[in-house]
Amino acid sequence: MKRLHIITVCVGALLCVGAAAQSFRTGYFLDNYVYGYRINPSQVSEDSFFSLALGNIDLQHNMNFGVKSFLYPQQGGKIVTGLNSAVSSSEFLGNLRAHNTLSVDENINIITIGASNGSVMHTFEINARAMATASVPRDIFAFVKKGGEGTYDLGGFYVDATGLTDFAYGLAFKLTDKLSVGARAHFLLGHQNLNFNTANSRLTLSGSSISIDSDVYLRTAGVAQVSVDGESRVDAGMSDSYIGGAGFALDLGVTYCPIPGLETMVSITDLGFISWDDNFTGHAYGSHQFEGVDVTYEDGSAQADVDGALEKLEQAFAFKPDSEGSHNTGMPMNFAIGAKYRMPFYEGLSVAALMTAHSARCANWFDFRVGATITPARILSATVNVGAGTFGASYGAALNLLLGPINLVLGTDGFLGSIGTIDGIPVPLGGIMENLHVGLGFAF
Amino acid sequence: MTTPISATRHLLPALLALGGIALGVVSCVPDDRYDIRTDDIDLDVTVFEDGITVPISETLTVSLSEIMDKAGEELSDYIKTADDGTMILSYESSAQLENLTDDLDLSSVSSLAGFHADVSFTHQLSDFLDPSIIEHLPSSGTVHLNSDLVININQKANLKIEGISSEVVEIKELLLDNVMVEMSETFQGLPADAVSTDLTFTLPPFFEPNVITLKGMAVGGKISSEPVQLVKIAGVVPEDGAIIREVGVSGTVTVGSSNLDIATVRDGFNANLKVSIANSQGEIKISKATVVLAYDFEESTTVNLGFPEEFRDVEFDFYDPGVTLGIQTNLGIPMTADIDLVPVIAGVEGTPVSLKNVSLPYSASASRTESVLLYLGRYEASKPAGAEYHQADIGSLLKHLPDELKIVFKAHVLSSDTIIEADADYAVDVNYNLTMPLELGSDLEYVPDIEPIDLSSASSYMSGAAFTLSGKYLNTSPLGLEVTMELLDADKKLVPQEAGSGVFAIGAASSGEFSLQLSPTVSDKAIAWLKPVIKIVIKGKQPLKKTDYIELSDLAITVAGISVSPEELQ
Repeated sequence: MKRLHIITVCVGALLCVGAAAQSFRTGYFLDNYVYGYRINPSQVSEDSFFSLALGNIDLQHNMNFGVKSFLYPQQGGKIVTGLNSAVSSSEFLGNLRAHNTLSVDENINIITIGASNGSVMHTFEINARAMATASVPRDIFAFVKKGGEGTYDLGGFYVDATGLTDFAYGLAFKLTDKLSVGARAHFLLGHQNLNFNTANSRLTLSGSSISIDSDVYLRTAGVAQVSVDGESRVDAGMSDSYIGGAGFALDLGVTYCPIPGLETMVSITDLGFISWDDNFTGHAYGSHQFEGVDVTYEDGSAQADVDGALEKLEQAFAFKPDSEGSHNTGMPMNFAIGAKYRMPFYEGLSVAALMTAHSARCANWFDFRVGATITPARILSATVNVGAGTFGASYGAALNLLLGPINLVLGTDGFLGSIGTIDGIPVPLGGIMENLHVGLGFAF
Repeated sequence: MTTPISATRHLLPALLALGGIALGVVSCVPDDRYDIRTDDIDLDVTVFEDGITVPISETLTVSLSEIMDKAGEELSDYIKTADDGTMILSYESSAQLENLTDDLDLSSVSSLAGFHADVSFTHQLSDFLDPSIIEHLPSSGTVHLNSDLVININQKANLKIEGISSEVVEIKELLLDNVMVEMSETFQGLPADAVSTDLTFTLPPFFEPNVITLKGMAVGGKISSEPVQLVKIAGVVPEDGAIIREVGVSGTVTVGSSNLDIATVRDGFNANLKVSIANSQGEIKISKATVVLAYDFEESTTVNLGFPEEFRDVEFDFYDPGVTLGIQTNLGIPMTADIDLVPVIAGVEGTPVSLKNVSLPYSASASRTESVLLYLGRYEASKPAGAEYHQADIGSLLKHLPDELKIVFKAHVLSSDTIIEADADYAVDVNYNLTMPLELGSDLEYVPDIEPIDLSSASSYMSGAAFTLSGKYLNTSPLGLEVTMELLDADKKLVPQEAGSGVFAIGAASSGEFSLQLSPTVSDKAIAWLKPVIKIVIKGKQPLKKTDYIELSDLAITVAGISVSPEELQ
C-alpha cells in the first residue's frame, strides 16, 4: 500500500504542476510571445527582453495511458486492477498502448537575454533541465495477464532519466520581408544520466519450452551510480561526480510569409546529443533456453525446486558489467510545422495550426492543433486551441500580458478527458499531455 | 501587428480568451466512478489466465524394482532376479527341529550307566563236611586234609539293566564301548595257596560273549580272571525301560592237601566271587545302538516374512508361487511327517496347506548327512532340480500376504531299525524358500503409499490456479498406472478439485502422451503439496522383469490463473 501511495502522489504531483514543455506549443498561437523562438528559432521579436531566475518555467509531462488503463470499478464500489480475474484480458490489454509511456520534461529558465532590433535577434539562455522517460511494452502485461504460447516482445521496457544544464545561443534574422531564418546552438552540460533498456529482448513460449533472448543494458553517468554485486543484483546509489557528460544540440527554423496575413514556419529543435562518461555500463545479453524445474526424489519425497527455476530465469537478465566507457544519448527532438493567418477584417484576430512531432526513444508522440488568437491590444494577447494526437484530445489556452516592460505569460496545453481522484487527488483516466508555462520577463 | 484600440472595444474578446483558459481548466470531465480511496482497491491479481507452461528438466525413468521400492522398502529385500530378468519375490530362511533330539533322549540309549554286576558267594564247612565229623574234632589245632576237598558251586543272581528310553521298543544291537568282564575270588579260612578254582559265569544269551570262566590256583588267597571284552548286546526287548535277566556261576572250588585250622573250620570259611562288567571308568558305554523306536513328535517353526503392512488388504493371485523345503539330517531315524503351512495375519492363523506322509531323510551314519528337497506348488514344472514335487495350493496361502508363515512338522518314527551312534551330534535342519514369481493369475490393483511432493516453495504462487501436468510416457512393463494427483494445502488437507480433474492413466506396455488436469475449486488455499496417488494395475500372467521401466519425458506443468495477493508478494 505504501508503494501505491507513492505512485499516486507522484502522478498527482505531476498532474498538478501541469504541463507545457520547453516547447510550449500554445505559445505559437500567441501574439507578442517573446519566447516563440523556442518553437521556431527564426522568430524575431519586436522587442528585446530579459528574464532572470524562474523567469520561464516549463513543466511538461505526457502519458499515453491513464488510471482507466489499470483500475476498473466493479459493482459494489470495489475497485480492481486490470490483472484481476474480474477484468477480461481483452478489456485490459485493449486499454493499453503497444508502448505505454510516461515522460517528464521540466525546464527551468535561469537567465534569458534577448536582443532584437526588429530584424535581427540574438538570444542567450541558461536553463536547468530534467527529463525522464519510462516506457513499458504492452506485451509484458499480455504475458503476465494471459500467458500462453507465443512470442512476447519485451523490448522497449525503457527508463531514461537525464539532468543537464543548457547553455543556448540563438540568432534569428529576417532575410527579406517574407523570409526569416534562425538557429540556436545548445551546449549541454550533463549532470546525470540513467539509461535502462530491454532493447530487443524477447520471451518465447512454445509448447513446453521457454526461451529468452535478452538484450538489456544499463548505463549510468554523472551523479547516477549503480553497482552490481556478485549475484548480479543491481544496487543504486549516487556518485560525487556532478559533471557526467557534455553535448551539443541545434535548433533550426524558417519562417515564410507567402501572402499578406499568412505566416508559415517549419522548425526542428533539440537536434543533438550528449556524450556521457559512464560510471557503469552493463549488459545482459544472450539466448537462454529454460530447461525446466528440477525435481528431485530422495528419501521417498519429491521436491520441486521452483525457487531454483526462478533463479535460472533471473540469470537471463543478470547484468555483466562492461568496461567503463562512454555512451551517447540523443536529445528528444521536435519537428514542427505551423501556419498562422491573420484575419483581414481584424488584425487582432488570427487563426493558426501547428503540427508537432516529438522523437524520443520509446516515447514518440504526435500532436496537431488549431486555434484562434485575439490580440485586442498590444498589452494583451489571448489564445485558445484544440488538438488531437498520440495522447488523445487536448486543448490549449494562454494569456500574454505586456504591462510596460513587464511581460507575463501564463498558459497551458491541457488535455480533454475524464478525470477521477485517488484519495482526493485528481488523476487522468486516459492519456494526457499537459504543459504548464509560466513566464515573467522584461521587454524593452 | 495590432492597432491600438480602446480597452472597452476589446474587453469582450479578452474576456472570451480568459474564458477559454477557464474552459480549458474545467475541460476535464469528472467521473465519480473513479473517486477512489486506495483502501478500496483490491490488489489481488490473477496472472497467466491462458496458462504458462514450465518444463520439468528431468526425464523420470522408474524401473519396476524402484516401483517396488516405493511400494515398500522392506519388500525390495525379497526381490530377486532370475536369469531371464524376471523378478521373483523370494523369502529364504532355515530352522532346526530341536524338539526331535531334545525329546528323544538319545543318551539313554547310548549309555547304560545303571548296568553293572557284583556277584558274591559265601561257602561254609558244613556245606561239604559231615556234621558228625565236625563234632568229633578237637576244639583247637589243625586238621590235615589228605585229599582234595572239592566244593561244588552253582548259584544264580539277577542282572538288571536300567535307564533305557521308553521310546526304545526293541534293541537290535548295542555295540559296547570297551566294556570288560572281570571275575575275581578271594578266600578266607582256607589255606592261602592251596585253593584252585574252575568257575563259569554265564550271562544272558543276548550278550556276546555270554560265558566267562575263572580257572586256576589262588595266590595269597585270591584268584582273578583275565579280563574278557563284552562286545555287544543283541536281540532283546526292554520292559519298562529296563532289562532283568538271570545270571549264574557254576563250577568247583578245590582245596588241595593241607592243614586246616579247626577253629576256622568250625566257624566256616568264605570264598567271595565278584564279577565286574564295566569300562575303565566304571561305566557301560555303547558305541552304536541299533534299536527300534516307537516315537512321534510335533514341532513348528515360524517364519516372519515381514511383508509391508500396506499389502495386508491387497488380494493377490500369484500365478505360480511355491515353497521349497530342504530337510537335512544325519539322524538314523526313519520318519515320515505331515507338514502344515499355516499363514498368520495379525496373529490370526489362516487355513493351512498340508502335506501328508512325507518321507524324511535317513542317515545310516552320523557322519553323513542325508537330505530331501520338497517343492510345494501349483505346477510340477516349476519345481527346482532334484526336488520332490507335491501339489499344493500355495496361491491360496498367499492370497493375502501373511505376516508370518508357520510350518508345523508332525513326524512319526517308523518301526524299523534306528541307528544311534555314541557321542554323535544329531541335527535336523530345515531350509525354507518361499518363491513368488511376479506374475499374477488375475488382475491386481494396488495403491502404494507415496509421499507427497513438496511444493511449499512455490505455494505462494499457486493458490487457485489450474494446473496441467503433461508429457510423454513409455511403459515397457505390464503395469498399468492410474495416477490421481491430489492437491494439499499447507496443513496437508485436501484441496477440492473439479470433477474429473487430476486423473490420468498409463496402460500396460504402451507409450503416448498424457495430460493431467489439476483444477482446484477454491482459490483461497495455497497449494503446498502435490500427492500422487498411483493405482498400479497388473495384468495376469505377465512376468515382471527388472529391465521393465516407466519413463516420463518432456514433462511440463502448465499453470493457468495464478492468484496472488499483495500480502504474498511482500
